[in-house]
Amino acid sequence: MKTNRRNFLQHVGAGAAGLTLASPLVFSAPAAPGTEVCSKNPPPVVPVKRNSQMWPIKSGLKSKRIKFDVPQNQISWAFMKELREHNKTRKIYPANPYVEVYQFRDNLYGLFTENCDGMGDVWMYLIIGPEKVMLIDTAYGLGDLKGLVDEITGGKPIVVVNTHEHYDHAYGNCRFEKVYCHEYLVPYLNNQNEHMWDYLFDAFGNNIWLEFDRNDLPKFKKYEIVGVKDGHRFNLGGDYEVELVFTGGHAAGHAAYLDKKGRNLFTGDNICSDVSGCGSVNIVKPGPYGENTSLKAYRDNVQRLVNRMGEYDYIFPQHFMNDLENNLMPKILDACDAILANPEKPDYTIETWGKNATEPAVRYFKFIKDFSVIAYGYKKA
Amino acid sequence: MAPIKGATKSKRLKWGDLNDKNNTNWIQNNLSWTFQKMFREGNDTRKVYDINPYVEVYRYTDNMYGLWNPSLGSGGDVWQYLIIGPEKAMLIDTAFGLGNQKGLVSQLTGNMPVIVVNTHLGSDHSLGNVLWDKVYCHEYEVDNIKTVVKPGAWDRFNNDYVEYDLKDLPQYKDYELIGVPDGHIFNLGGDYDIELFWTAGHAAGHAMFIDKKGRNLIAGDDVISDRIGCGGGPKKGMFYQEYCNLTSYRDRLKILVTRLDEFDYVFSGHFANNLENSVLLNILEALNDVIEDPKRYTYIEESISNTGEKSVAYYKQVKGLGRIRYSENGVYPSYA
Repeated sequence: MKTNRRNFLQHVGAGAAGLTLASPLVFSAPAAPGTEVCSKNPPPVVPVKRNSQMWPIKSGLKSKRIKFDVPQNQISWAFMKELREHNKTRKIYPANPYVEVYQFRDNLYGLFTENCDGMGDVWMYLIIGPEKVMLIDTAYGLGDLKGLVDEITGGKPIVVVNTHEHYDHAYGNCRFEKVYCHEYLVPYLNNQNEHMWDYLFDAFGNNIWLEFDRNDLPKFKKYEIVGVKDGHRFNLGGDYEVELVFTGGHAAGHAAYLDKKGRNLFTGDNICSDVSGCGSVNIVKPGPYGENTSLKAYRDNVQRLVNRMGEYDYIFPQHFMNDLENNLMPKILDACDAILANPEKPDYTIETWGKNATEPAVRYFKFIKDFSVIAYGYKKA
Repeated sequence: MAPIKGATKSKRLKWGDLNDKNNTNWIQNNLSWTFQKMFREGNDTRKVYDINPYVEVYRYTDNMYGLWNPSLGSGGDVWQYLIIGPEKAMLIDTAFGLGNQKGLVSQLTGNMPVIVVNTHLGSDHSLGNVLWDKVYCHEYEVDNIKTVVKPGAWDRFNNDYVEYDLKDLPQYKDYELIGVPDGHIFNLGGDYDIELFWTAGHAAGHAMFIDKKGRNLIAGDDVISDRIGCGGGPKKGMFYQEYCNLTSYRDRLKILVTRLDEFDYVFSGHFANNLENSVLLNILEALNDVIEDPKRYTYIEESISNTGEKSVAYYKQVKGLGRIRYSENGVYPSYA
């Protein structure tokens, strides 16, 4: 998920899901070097209201939620509440107090971390092969991610991959020496720099959405970015292979990862039990290979994944509900086809007003049968 | 619906006839199945007691348990809820009555007196009534439950969907079924009150229970993460059948949402539970939309019965939950 900062600004002061504090939310995180801090004018005290959704989930994480951006849906929140408060495999390692570790299979771990901005909390996945391990996504890099992975895996060599470049999936890349991704993602990852975390803090250096120690973010360093083609196979030892499957949709270089041995598919942000933002009908995103963010391009890649359902049983998205049965995939294909056949007939729309907008931006939504909803961009002729 | 690793003595054999195109009962949605898998396989409070090996017991709070029962047919597995007050306990629904339900409740409550209530007539919610001496329900549901809980009610169960010991099904016995009006308060001791709130919809006398002290709403089958069958329309032989429609349910829900400050979480009769109370607003929104124009369904399903009769089921998706199922004559009250 990518935070729409303009949307967020409309919500400032509107609520603080996750907390029932009566005191003003002023956290005194130290400012990053080079950040201008004004100490004479502290932020105004904004009364905090309890949101009507997303009440606090009991957690042992070091991070604490200040507020969310747009509300997340009830079924996703109920799932996460149950999983996080009662799953018998949950563990927080001293190596990284920002990550809850869940064991989904003998050799598959889910690494849950709170989103540092106001959007949905994030899953990273760790697959342990006979000789190497694969880490799918790196979130914001909060805490010692590599140390945590080493502790879980006993220090096996790590193959790090990205589903896509967004903040909450790839900002931890610089904690590693080398990261693989689809070749179309490379120019986006190349844009990363030492200021990319700045938006998480206000002008006074205070955390905006999530309380955490700023010193626990990575120190940016260049790392090797290796772009590979659709169908590239990563070998984790013996015959344990994980294949990159290009999907586009949510991002121009978005990829899924097919663990053939474990029979799981890791789908990044294209499938989400809250809102699946997986492409636009006739709006081309700017940037390299932007044409792959079209819903038609995504739809054709979903068709490929439907054709390969014999190779995986379960689907693991990067947000909210996971371990979904593969029969979901044809339903997503049906929803894409229904949108493309008649994009002017969504199930519902939501209008948002940008800060200086003279007309509302309209977002279109189509339900996926038995699941959630696809949000798509569409511009009427 | 790949098998979930359960802990009970029962074993699911099938959900329905996969070759029967008209039988859609066995297909539960991805949201619900995923939730159940995560919940049942991973929950650290899950416990199966020797006294009733057919029930998985989950502890939600210090004084509230969820009792998961396998469905004995092709419908969804069933929740009972047990709330323990200062002096008495309340058991909400009695499932099929498989195994020693009374013994299990006694063990969980330390032999407290138990007030047993029904949300509605469904056999998966009421057949266990015969294990108790007295059961309460909404006054419109008394005669409906009597049409379900009767001698021979268990004859149709024969291990075709689920494997279990048929000897563990209950025998019919008379018991006292007491109807109470909307708003009736059950006192569990001290100031621990639970209110029956009549909702209609899924059944004429369908009721929810507001646990004011625990701040939970036990919602029965009118809030479901899969298919909410709250617009079935008049049913032959059902008493007060004019209330089995979307409008009757909507009218009651409109009142209930004015009381959202009295409870935080919603517990359903099937599938996902512990849902935030705002989910009721989403159901209300979907109901209002269909009542304004019944053609605003999300999709329809057509089926042909064995006798060649064609029927259409209408589905309206509820944001953040499941879908409302309704029929052509299930939108407005039959008395309207």
